[in-house]
Amino acid sequence: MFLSIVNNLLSIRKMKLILTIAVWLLIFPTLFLQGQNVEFKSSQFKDQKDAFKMAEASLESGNAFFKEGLKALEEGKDATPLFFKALEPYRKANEFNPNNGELNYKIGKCMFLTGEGTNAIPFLEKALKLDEKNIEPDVYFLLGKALKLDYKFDEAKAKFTLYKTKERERVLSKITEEVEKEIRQCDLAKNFVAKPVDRIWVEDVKDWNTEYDDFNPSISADESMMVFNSRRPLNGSKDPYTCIWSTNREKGKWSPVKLMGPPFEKAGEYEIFNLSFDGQSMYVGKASPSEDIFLTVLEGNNWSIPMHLPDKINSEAQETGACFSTDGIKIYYITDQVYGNKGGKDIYFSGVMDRKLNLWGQGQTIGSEINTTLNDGFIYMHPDGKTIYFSSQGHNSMGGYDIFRSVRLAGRWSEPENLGYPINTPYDETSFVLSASGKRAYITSNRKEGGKGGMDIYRVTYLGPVKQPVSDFEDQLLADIASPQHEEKLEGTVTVETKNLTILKGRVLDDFTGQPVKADIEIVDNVKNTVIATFTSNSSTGKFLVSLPAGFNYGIAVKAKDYLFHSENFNLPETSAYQLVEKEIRLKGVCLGCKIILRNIFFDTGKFTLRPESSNELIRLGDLIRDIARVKPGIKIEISGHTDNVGSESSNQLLSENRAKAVVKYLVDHGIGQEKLVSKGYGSTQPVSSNTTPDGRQENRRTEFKIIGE
Amino acid sequence: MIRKIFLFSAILLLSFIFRIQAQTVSDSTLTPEEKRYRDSIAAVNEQSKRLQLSQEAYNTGIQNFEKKSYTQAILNFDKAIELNSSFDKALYNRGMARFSTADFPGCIADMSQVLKIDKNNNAALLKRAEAYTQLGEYQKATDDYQAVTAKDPNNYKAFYYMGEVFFLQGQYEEALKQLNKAILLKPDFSRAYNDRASCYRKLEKFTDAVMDMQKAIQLEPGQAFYYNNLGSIRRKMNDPEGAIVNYTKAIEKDPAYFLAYNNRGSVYLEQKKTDLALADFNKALEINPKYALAYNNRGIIYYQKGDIDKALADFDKAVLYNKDYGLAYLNRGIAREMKKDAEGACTDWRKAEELGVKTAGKYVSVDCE
Repeated sequence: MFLSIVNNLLSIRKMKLILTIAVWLLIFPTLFLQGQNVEFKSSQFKDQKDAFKMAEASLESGNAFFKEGLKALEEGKDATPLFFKALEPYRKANEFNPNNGELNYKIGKCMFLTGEGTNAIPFLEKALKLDEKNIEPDVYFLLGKALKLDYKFDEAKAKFTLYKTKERERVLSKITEEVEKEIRQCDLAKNFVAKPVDRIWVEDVKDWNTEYDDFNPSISADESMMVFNSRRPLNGSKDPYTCIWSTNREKGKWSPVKLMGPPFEKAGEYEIFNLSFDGQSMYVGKASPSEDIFLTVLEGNNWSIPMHLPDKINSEAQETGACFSTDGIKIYYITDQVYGNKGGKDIYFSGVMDRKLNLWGQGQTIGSEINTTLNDGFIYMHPDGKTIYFSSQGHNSMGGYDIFRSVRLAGRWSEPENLGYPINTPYDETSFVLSASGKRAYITSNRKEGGKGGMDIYRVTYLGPVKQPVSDFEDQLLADIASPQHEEKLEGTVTVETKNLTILKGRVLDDFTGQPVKADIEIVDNVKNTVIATFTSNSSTGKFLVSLPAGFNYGIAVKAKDYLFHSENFNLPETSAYQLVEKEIRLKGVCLGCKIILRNIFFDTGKFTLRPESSNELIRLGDLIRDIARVKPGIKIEISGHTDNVGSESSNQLLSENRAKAVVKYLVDHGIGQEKLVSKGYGSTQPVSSNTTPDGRQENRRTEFKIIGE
Repeated sequence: MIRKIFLFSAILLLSFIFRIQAQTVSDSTLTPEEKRYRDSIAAVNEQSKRLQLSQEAYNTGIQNFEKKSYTQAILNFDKAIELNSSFDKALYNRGMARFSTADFPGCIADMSQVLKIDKNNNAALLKRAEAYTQLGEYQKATDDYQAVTAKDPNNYKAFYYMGEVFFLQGQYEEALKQLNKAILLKPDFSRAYNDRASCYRKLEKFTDAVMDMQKAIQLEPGQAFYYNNLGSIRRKMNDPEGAIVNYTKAIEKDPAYFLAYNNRGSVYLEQKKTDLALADFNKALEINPKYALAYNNRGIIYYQKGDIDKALADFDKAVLYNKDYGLAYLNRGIAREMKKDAEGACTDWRKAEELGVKTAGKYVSVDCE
């Protein structure tokens, strides 16, 4: 059992070893092949004979163009189209065999020389990796330049340094100065990029640029007009032509660009050098037979036929740029004429002697402060009249043409100042114009950032002095704002008055004859025990009419001469609407046996103490007895008490007796002789209404006045 | 059972008959004079009813006002006035309620109506003056306050409010005179000391301002904004540490006092104590997420740190919550410029210039043509 387990383990280990070896055998040749130069030989592609033949043909085709290109370069001719033509077959060959060092080198070189600088890097690096020993030493130089354009300044510097050790002496001796310049520019560029110019931004003007060259924008001082050159196909043509284009600025917006009309409509004839500050004149260049400067002026809406500037300015050499001076007297221009030239293209100037006769002074160099041994290729004078901007491959350029500024001070031009990154880059910046406001500049550059291809126009915006945002703090200076204490005291509540009058209409009649009786009527508020109205019924009709607040309990007392008074207690119910209540009051005459119910004499329930609101009725009662006694001195009155049938008979009897006595006592106390009064209690024995209802029982609880003797 | 039903029916019948006897009399029994009398009484009753409903609505309005249900209170007072157009108390109270809902023209209309009924109603004059002040109609407000003081020379509140009106007009000397009178009439009136200190501060009499603020604090030590104002006076006196001490006291008195956090943060910002400043601005915004000043100031911190996007977001918020905030437009313009948005920057600076920010005007003339 144990041996079996050991054997199994051993076999697993063997399997793993075999597997590892197999994997390495598969991977190693691949790695080896990737790092090895593959010659363009049929023996290398035995299984792809046809494809090899096609690739070989492409290679040869490319080589032919490449060779021609090198020759053109030596002769100082434009070799770009030839290297461009070489690229296409080279790429086809490279698709078939991507691991040929020489082919990668050639592709990289063609790409670099046709403006695809940074795209050349992987091909050049691969060429070195595949076949370093056999590749032309200038691969280091090319790679250094390409890396510089890719902002890899340290790597670029290393390549240039390496190049110096690799290149053949006879070649190196011719270009040592250039290599050193490149190394110097790497340092400069590194510093410039590390310290970009503060508070500016650069953006390509997409509406104006094309995949072709768009260059040399020129503006009027107020930035209301711009002209620029664009090399683009016209009217459906295949080939691009340089022409002058223009655009105008209104309310901060540039109008769509348009091709300038006559006399500039002919394709490829003129190009703009400089628009005057007032936008009324232009220096233009005409390439044929040699590049010369012409002047055109705006006459109405039309530009004049360009006038050739005299030979004092236009030499047999090339005059490739010019600009106006603010005083209108001088012209600054670019020429590669031999006389006074420091090297390459230089900046010259001349002064007008007689404008009508087109007489100018002999052109002369602007001075050694500005011109260099390399090309100084563009000039622009700012509207301030003392500052010039020019492009140059010399001075402390960080690569190709850079833009410089110099100021005329005390009759001398100041030391040119590189405008720095990001206005300048390792690429070419070939023109620069600045608005009079100093807010915006327009440059030409072939930089890799932005743009559409070839030279493009970029706008530089100057933000001016640093703008500091402003912080803020807040106080509550007025207490009333910090902590409002608005007066909120309102007028107080009011007592809601619910006055609702009810009309009480009635008639007072003789109870026996039914004739109208003139009677005094008194209305008492039984709750407040106050007389609220006294009036008299009509003598001929017995009518009376009075309005009373509803919702209260009233006592009404009606008295007339020779009649017993009538008293009554009634409620005027609360209603929301108008109400009219009618009463007929029948007065009884004074006679033996006549009686009246004293409705306005009140006791507490179960008690015999007179309530205060009984006083009016008792006073009336006293007055009545006194009135009768004056006529009938022997009058005898019975005051009787009556109850309902609630409770026992004995208690009701006692209560009725006591209540009658209380009334008699009141009357006696108020001057009525005792002999005229008899009190009697009847308990519940003489009901006047049913005791089965509350109202009926109320009716039965009463005090009566009755004449029982005369 | 039958007896019970019969008895009940009899009671119902009797009560009905009794009611009939006491109730309405038909028109046919009335003479023309009696009809006229009845109609007049009916009219009186109707008027009484209207008065009653008016009074009930009025009382309900007061209840709603006290519950701070101002809109409902206004509806109640509307009804009270509709039923009784000469109900001056209802007019006054509605004016008060309208003031509380910031309907200042409505308040003025009501108080003017009250004053037509009773020209000596000082309370109505005072409230109308307050409403005029709120509307910036300072001369009318002053006229009303003067009318009050003419009738009641001891009305310290009228002098106090008049002082505020002059202050709001930038007439600090005149404001001082009125506040002096208010303090003379009521020497323990701490709010008047605060306001007088603000006058002194505007007149750059900082020592007097400090003394008045100290007096206000002595009289009413619980008021956080007194410390805040004192802090800002210290700041004006180039005493940032003194400012911070007082802002901190203000925060101690009222931990939710976001103004003091913002102010202290802005001092820290000036002192380059960015972290402390940021913490204060964050706290201010935690308390009041719609506080434009703190957004503005925090935006500056982000701007200074180079985080323009976050700065812009804060400046956006600042103008969102205060569309008339000139400094925030100025700052957003600066941030927009850094984002290459020249057009947006100029739009902001023009807006800031409209709102009285002079620096923005300079930027417009230099950078926006």
